[in-house]
Amino acid sequence: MVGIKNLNQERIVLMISILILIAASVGLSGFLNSANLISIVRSISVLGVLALGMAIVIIGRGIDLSMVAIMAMSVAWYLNLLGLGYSDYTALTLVILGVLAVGGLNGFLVAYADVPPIFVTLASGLFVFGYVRSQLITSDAVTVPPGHWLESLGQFRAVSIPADIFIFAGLCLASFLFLRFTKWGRYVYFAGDNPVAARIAGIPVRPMLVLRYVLSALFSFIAGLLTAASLLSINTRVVNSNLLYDVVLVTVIGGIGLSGGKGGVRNVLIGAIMIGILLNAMTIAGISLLFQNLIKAVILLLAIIFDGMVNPRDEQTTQQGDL
Amino acid sequence: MTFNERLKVWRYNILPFHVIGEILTKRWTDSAIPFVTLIVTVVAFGTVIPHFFSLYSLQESTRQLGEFSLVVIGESVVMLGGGIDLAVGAIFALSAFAAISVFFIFAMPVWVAFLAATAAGLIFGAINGYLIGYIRLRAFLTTLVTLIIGRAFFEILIVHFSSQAQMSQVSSDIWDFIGDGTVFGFSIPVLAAILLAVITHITLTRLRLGWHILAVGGSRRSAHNAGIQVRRVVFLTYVFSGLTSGMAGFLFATRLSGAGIGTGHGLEILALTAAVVGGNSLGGGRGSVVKGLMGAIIVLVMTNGLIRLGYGTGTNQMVIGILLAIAVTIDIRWLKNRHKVLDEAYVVPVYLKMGAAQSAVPGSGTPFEFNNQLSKAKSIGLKEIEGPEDVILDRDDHLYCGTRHGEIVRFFAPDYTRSEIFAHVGGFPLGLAFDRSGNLLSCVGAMGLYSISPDRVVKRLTAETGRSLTSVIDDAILRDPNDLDIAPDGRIYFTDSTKRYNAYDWMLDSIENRATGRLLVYDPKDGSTKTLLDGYRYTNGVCMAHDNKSLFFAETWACSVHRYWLEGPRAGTAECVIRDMPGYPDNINRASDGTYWMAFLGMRTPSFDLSLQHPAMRKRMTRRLPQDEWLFPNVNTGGVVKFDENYNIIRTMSDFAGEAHPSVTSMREHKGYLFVGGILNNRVGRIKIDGADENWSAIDAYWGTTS
Amino acid sequence: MKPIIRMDCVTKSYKGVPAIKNVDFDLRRGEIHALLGENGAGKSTLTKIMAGVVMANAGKMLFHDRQVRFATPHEALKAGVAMVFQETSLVPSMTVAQNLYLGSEKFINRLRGIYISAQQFLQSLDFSVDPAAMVETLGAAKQQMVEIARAVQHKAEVIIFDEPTASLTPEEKRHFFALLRRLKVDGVSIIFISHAIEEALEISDRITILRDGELVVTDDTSAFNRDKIISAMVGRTLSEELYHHHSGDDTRKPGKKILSVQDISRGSVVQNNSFSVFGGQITGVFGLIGSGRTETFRIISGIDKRDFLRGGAIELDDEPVRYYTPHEAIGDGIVYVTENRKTEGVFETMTIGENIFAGFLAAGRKKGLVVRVKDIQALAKQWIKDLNIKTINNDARVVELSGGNQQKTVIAKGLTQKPRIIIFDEPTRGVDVGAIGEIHQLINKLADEGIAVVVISSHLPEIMSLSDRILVCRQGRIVEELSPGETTEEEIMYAAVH
Repeated sequence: MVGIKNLNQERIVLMISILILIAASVGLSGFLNSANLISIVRSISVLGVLALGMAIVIIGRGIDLSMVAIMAMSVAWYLNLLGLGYSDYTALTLVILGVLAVGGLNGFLVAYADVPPIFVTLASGLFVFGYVRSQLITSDAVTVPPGHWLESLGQFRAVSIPADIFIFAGLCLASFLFLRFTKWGRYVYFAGDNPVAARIAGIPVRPMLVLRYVLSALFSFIAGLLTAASLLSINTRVVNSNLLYDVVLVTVIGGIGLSGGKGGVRNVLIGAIMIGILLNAMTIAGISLLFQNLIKAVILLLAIIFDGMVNPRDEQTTQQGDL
Repeated sequence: MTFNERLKVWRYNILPFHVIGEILTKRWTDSAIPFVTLIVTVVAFGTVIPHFFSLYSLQESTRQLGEFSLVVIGESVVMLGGGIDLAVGAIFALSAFAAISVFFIFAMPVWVAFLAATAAGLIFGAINGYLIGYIRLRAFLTTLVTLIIGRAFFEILIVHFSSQAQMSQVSSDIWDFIGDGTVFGFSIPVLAAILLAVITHITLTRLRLGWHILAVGGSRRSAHNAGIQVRRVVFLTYVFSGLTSGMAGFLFATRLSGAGIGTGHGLEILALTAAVVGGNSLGGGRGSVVKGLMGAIIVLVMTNGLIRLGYGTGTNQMVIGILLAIAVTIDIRWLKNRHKVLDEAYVVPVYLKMGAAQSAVPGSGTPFEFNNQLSKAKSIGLKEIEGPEDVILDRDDHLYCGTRHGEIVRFFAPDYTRSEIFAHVGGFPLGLAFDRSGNLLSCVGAMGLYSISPDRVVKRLTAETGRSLTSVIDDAILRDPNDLDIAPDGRIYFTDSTKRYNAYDWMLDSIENRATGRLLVYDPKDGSTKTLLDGYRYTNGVCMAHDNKSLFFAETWACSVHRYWLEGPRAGTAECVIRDMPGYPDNINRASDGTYWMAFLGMRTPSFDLSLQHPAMRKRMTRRLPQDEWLFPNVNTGGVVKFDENYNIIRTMSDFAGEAHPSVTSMREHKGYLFVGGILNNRVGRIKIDGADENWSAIDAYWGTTS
Repeated sequence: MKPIIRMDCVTKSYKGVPAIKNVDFDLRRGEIHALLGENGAGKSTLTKIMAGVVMANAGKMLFHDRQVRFATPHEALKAGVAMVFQETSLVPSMTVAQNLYLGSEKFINRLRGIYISAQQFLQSLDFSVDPAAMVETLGAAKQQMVEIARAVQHKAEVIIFDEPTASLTPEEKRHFFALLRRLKVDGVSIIFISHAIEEALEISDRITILRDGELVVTDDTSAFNRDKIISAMVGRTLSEELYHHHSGDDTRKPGKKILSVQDISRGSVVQNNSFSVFGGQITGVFGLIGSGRTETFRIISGIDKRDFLRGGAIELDDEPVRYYTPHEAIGDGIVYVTENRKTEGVFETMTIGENIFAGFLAAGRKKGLVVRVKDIQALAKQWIKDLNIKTINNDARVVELSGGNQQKTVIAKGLTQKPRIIIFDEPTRGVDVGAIGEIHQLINKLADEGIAVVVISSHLPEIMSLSDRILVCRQGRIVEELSPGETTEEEIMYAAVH
């Protein structure tokens, strides 16, 4: 049994998730069955994919606020190109190049121009949304052309489990392997823990920074494809919604510190599962969407307050600029 | 003057390039990039958009700007305190709702609505502050969550009550005036923002609370160790941000008389953008309210301008994204390299063609001709003292001198072998003088004018003078007080050698050769300090003339002596009486026979004289060579000369071998002996002067034998 | 004489690990009391309790015969106990003047007024620091002066200086000691924590020595000499071998010229610097802080960039090289072991193995694509054994190690990169006496193996005993080359100052 002093944010969030799970299983009929559990996981797969990309950036002591814009706009542009009659191959190549370019630009400005990431990605998010919305597409929502592979992806089932769960699981595994077992993945932690020391130790800090932003942009694109596959369209207004905040929350609530160097895929999963369970339980309980947001946020607040009480931060040890 | 010389004078002496460096020393120049961006943005949109600058259009667009500025001021303060407030959008919306519900639904007076809105802001801010300040949660995460809570709460409220508010028949003139009216052409939100900005600016730069906020933002641990209540300060920044957002929400409510689901949406991003574009740092501690305001104007002019140009949200956001990225990138580069530019730009040597001087070479037959008389001086305090710039003797024949270590050392008569530290002043005590009641006054380099009473109490007389209006750097501060003398009426005349360099950088001043030395007077009656003369090349020694109606002062790098009249028909004017000497004059003192002693710090060299005609070369030298290898005025051979009332040099004493007194900065005649000091020397010299009055003591001769 | 502070049986432990145990200590009015001990002996902890930075677990503290317990540094300061911290406690983004008055400022402050009074005050202590400068733009020595000035400015009865002289030049040190003596005359009691035994002997009235959290001895300074202090600090007699003197014939002969530097420049810090480094010997570089010695070698190892124009040339094996990142330099076998262990040497929250692995990985020495935890552990095990790193277990995080062991970890991180030239910047700063010898041995071994070793240090005995060749740096240049067998400490210092 872990003592109260051993509780960290990760464990607190996990405990709360389990509590909600138990409460919902007992109190709500129809919660604890395989169909519902699948729908829980499915509901968080998009969020989870975005959070994975965000996690890689945050562990390396950065943040990417352009993810939602990249997610929505890349797919919207892709679908629009298809609608204009481009071949799937051409369209996909163009869009992936665009995504890589934006990610690369983010990384370049952060790494080589020393602009704070929060600001670079804020600006690039604005730019991506603005540019695609005004120059490349004509309406807020773009639909998937009938018969396209995205449609079949959305309908795919194996053992009654939809494809997005497999993709999410696959990406989780890939990220885990990347962070844990590859050279470049290890670099993420070194750069996040102490960028100056990493540079002096000879780690190519700047190219690796660019790599992380490129990865997060690619994850955004995948998340966008998943959205389009399940909804058969993409609505660019999602850029102005709270989705971005949810992504940051899922990433951070599971215990990945914004100061970098700490955490991993497990933390993302815990955060995502908690949000998934909570939203699902509330939906089943018939709570309106307006109140769901409120309750979700209050529970998150309680979780971080509890963490703050158990693990107080100290003036003598707090890192400067740790927001 | 040849054309080439004229050109050089114009290029190096008239064109004020040195001002660039001086401006760069100012703290506010780190706002240069946001300021330029601001101007460019306003001008660009002003020319593209018709009627942009018309009064009505300005009044309308500034109304929104006022509200937004309030939010940004709050956000800036939080960021300065090392935090971040993402909840401003929610606070803004809730406060607007509070005002509307109180006014329209409950039909209460406007001031109650105002109170309700600000109270809502304060409470929300206090919650944030409590969580982050006292429970010490992470600011980003916490305000992100409270933002979501606040917005969810607001959306629930607005869904339930907005129709009620719209149906309301309540109206009020005051409400409409706040929303629509103007005072002296300014709308209420603008006035509110200006007022708040001024108050906040003064608080941050001058008041205790503001310093505490900056300290907490700059380094929490240091602030804590300095005894600042970090938690309370952090708490207060969020409360303040809540208050400003609440006020902005109220103004929004009066302007639109309603609120909708989109009220305040995305405001946190805009406010954050504005604060950062203005140049406030995300880590805390660096920035200002002015920067926040500039950011607010830039962001709002861009967004509104693009909308008025008919672009949709898409283009709008795209352009903002690009411009902001560019602005911030340049700003960061600028801040990183500003000090390099400053280093590069501060030293701006001037052109000077020195007049030909008489030779001082032995055997040349001039009055300056070098000899070896000083090498016979008997050493006092050899290797015990360092850097006795000035020496002086009191009525009991004790000898005083300053040292490099901020001390005034006293050697006891009659043989001057015993010594003690008479007083510790600090800085670098330079010129010395006794006043009528026996206080020892000293010009202390890098400090000011000090007085040491016979019982060793050190007192500061003055360290500043009036600021001149045309100077960019603050010339009120005395940087290098050098020498002094006291008029019979008690007024103290003293020199401050340079305005642009600290006392320890005199070498740079000599290389730059810019005329910034001053003659000042301190009046002990009312404690005032006035600048009498300005614009000399390193003013140095000061000495009252024997007539007590005028004084001499040396202008070191120009190798001249000037006479300044205190009374008579020429009172207040100065005249150059000796020019183009072969040496750099330092202190001047009275001699027993009605003439004057003058020290030569060093002798002019043809190479440095030539370099004075090549300012660019001197600039390159300071940039590219280590200090050891700079060419600067020779301080290895100096001496003492004597001049009479007709300004003729009548005697020279020097140490040509350079063993005992290579460079001399001061000398005093006392009872038939001459005491010699040197700023770079490790001793005081004492030498018998033949033919001098053996009973003459400077202090008795000037102030009388009884005190 | 009545003590002004008395500590009775004070104990303090961090997370169960005792830092000091049952220490009795007293401080008399108007004395300078030196507190000596190795790293981790509990000097800082003891004084931090007095200054209210940490609170004791047991025991009591009497101040003016009244029992007190300071909860914050501010409470201690109000009562009259000020502390000058080793890691500076200034706000980097504020001006010197603001820092000087922080915590004691008036409600409204006139800016020019505080600049002038700060200038007068600093100068009266003979510290020439520009009061309008931002603290972050100052060097370590000037920051230290501001810190000292602040403690004096509070007119405290007791001032605790934690390693105040580490970054001061001889001239500044002289001013500082003069200040201490003046304070003493004014009746201020001073606690002076130092590594430098000579300084303690020179300035103090009494000396207290701590070892492993316990008080070993307190006595008048006259009762001590250097050897006695060392044996009390270390607990055994350490022979003079720590800093032995070269006799001239045991210096290594230069091997092949590996590195030659011509006229490299960087702003005003490094100007036209030229020298060479040879294999198989130790090149000692001595210079005061700010003399450009560190910056020169940071340029060579690619950490800092040289001036874009007229920046000079670096040749490795007679081939011109120019590095933009340390990555490239390490690829060519140039490894720099930093002087700022904490900020740029270690990954604090990671294990010893991961730290060393960072170097291994970055040098491209990892074969294959997969990083196995086993590899990391093997690496940790090997280096812990080779360098005798003392740790509870092989998975200990670096932050839990003592200074000496952290330093060994950093060195191991560099050594895994198979250097041809290794640059040690202040290799024994903040390292306990026991580990210093081991690190010196290691450095000697590296040179014997034929590696070109550079040791930068501001500790003269270290330079004298390690180097086969001494370069003296001043004003951004190597100004003198000396041979350790033929020179004296005075000669080196003279070259560094004049």
